[in-house]
Amino acid sequence: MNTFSRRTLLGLGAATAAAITVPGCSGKSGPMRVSWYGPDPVTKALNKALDAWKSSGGAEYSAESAPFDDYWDKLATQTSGNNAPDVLRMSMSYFSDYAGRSALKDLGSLGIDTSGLDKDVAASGVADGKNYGVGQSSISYSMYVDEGAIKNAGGTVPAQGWTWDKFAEFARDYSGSVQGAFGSSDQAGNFQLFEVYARQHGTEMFSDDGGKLLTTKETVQEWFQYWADLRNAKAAPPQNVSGETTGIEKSLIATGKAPLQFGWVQQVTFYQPLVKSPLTVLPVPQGKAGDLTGQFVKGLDLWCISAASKHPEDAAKLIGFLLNDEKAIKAIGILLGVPPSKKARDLVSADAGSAGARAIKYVEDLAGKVGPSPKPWPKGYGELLTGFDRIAENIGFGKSTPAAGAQEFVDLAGKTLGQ
Amino acid sequence: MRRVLAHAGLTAGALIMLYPLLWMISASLRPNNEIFDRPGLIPEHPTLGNYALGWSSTGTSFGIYIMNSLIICAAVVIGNVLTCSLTAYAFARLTFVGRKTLFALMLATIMLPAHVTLIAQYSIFRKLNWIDTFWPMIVPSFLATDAFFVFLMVQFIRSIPVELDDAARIDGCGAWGIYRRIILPLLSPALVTTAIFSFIWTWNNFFSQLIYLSTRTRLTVPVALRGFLDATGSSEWGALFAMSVVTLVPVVVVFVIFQRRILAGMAHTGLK
Repeated sequence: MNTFSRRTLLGLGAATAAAITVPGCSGKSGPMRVSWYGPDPVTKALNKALDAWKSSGGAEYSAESAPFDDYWDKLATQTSGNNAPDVLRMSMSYFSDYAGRSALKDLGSLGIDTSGLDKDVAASGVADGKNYGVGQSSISYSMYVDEGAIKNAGGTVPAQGWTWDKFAEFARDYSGSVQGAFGSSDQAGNFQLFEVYARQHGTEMFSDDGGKLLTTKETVQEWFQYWADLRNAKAAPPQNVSGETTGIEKSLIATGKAPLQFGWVQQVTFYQPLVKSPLTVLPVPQGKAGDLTGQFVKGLDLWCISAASKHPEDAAKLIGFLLNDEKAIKAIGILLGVPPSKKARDLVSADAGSAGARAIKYVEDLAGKVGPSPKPWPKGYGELLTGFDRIAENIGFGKSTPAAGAQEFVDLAGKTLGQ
Repeated sequence: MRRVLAHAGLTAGALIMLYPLLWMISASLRPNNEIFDRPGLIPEHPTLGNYALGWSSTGTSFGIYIMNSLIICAAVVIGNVLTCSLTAYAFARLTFVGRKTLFALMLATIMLPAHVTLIAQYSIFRKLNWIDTFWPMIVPSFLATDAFFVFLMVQFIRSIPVELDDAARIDGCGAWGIYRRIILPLLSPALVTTAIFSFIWTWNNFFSQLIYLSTRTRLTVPVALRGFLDATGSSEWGALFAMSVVTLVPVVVVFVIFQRRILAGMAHTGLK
């Protein structure tokens, strides 16, 4: 028994551990994995599209999905654990972070058919000259207007939307004539609407390399002041009301306390079921009437392939299938946004009276009138997004002023960008 | 008179504490558009529709999620009770080389934030090919990795008089026999506490279940519940509240059953 010392035991233990681990290392690669974020209807639609992929002879796959916020926790862990899914849904808010850390594959040589796609969308995933993702949808910022409510209050809705000045006037009139309602919800903290406003002031929001904020402090201040004035005139709700009306079900338009709402165009389909009369989709307010160059059409959600994928060819084929196959297009509908190709839009917009068809028509009408689409949002965009909202909230609660807030945001951008 | 006042105060306090729970139950009985409309507790158009919807709307029966959660919880409870008590016994009663250092190391793992070890853990489980299985949740509990419970039991065992061990040794018990016949029975209140907390914490543990499980039929209750909410779309509040109520049932049942045991355990520990 003397030979069986503690050291041999340790050695044995280590050897056993190695023996267990090694087969894992060589990696049973398993079928291709497809992963996405989105609410339940998105998951159901994509599962249906994947069924179509399988029945048309596509490769084996396994599907994963999670709600938006959780998806990023999971994907970050999977990516750093070297176990990212092969095909994954990527949001523009995180795109530069993943592309910049070489977590995504260059799709250049994989031959995904994007010939039918809108040009701006097909190029949405280009960073540093490489194509890291293909847009899933053509979307643009918009406002949804309850025309019935506005007519009842004696107002009118211009066909091309308002200018910012006219919009303020309208909001004041509406709040004055309808008891307990506001002309608009408070959008001071809406960074994505602000991007349109910033572009109306002549520059892109970020420099091409994503390292600098081009929008001036004056523009930011003007924006915060605009909404502060609307709040003071009771045309927009005070901050405590805004704080309680986040989320679609609780939004002012859903509860009948405001006649309009801002958002990405496809989200009109989430608001429509909660509002009795049909919602009209309009461009957001403009600096000069009818000049829509502040807006842009872009794919803000992308299909990507992870850099570590063991099935890049199948993954590329699947992405091509989801974009171009008739059955897949019909299954997805407008749940991922307005479809990115003419062919898909025609297939989906059959139901003419629906909010979805109005969203599609909006994007088609907009094409040609909007400005050039900006580069992918830079690294650190997520931080600016939440920071902007936080600053706006502080101003709303009177803890800061538009001037101080604008300075704070410019400082934040200086610290966050170009890292 | 004072008692009446005290009771009135306590009742009011209890109602305030209970209100969120009652509100959830009431919300689960309302149609979606009524949930945030009125603050009151009585639904205007009560319906059980949310329960039917929530049970089946994800395409997989909610019963499967509950079953998955129960399997994991049961395994974790067994693992923690068995191995943490054994480890605690070793730390409290046996003498071996490096005991103090190892004990300190074990305590240090409590203070380590989970995020620090997350990625290393994930890599290990991936190499073992355990991603998308229950093993990453279950196996660690059989290795006494929950230092909190170990610590809890070490403290408890230290309060048991060593004379009992000595007496058992005279009667011919070895270390194992003392653990089996003396320590384990006397430890039952701590075991019950461990079991209850293991169950509740695992039942509610969202993060690791989110990270490790992917296939729909392997998901657990907390992950499935989150699926009803999504910031980018409309949330199914009614279904969420209905299934939350359903989810509460096992926790309440476990607690009610084990609570009696706690009291029984307390009574047994008194030295006669």
